[in-house]
Amino acid sequence: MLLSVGRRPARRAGPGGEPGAVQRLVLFLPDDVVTELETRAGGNTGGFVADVLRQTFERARALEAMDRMRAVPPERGAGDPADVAAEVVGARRDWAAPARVKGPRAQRPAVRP
Amino acid sequence: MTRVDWVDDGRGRPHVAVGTDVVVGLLRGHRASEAAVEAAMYIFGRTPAISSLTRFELERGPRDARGRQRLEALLSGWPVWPFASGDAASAASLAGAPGCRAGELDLLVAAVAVEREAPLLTHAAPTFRRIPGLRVWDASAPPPL
Repeated sequence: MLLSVGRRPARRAGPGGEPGAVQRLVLFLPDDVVTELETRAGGNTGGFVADVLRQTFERARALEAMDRMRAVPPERGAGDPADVAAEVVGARRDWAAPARVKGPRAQRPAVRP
Repeated sequence: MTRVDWVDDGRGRPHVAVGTDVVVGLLRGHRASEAAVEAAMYIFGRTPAISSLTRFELERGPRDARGRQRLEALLSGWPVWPFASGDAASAASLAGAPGCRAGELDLLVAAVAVEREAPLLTHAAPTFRRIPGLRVWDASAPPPL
């Protein structure tokens, strides 16, 4: 049975992963313990433990995806401005907007006196 | 900024719907967005997910190869919820809520979260506060420890 997911401590290396890597904590439990867990979870026999397993693996996958994303430098410089909400909510509008193209004003030749 | 509503009332499946602005924050390397998503996972045991509508917004964004690579890396491990018929009906019912300031696309994203009983993690909490049935987690406020 897989119980938890977390990160390896930043300063601890060794078998099983690099420092900071996503780790799965796995405990193998006897059948009677699993049955007891499922009974306490409302008699959902066969569902509770399977749900815990699936959800924990989903979170591990999500964490690993974030790590893969971080391995690629951001499109623009990484930053942490004081008002993240204003910056990021504004960025969402910019993000979803079509790429800007220069309009007729920019292409118009300069008028000379 | 409105106080965070991080308290989990135990309803529904253990997912958190991540709003487009938070994902944009992740893609642009903002530590506050990363901290909010990781808190949802570590502290509250939630799996992050996005709606297909959020994916639509995200797919329009990257301007270069690195932005595309970061987006694809993230989507490789995050569930994407489709926008279903029930979500459309739910969004229509939410649209008339009094005081609701959310735009059309925001309403659709909110409906996907409401139908799955998932809280919405967003930096734009005030925009979503008045949507009935939607639990909003403010990604700009630290979770209580």
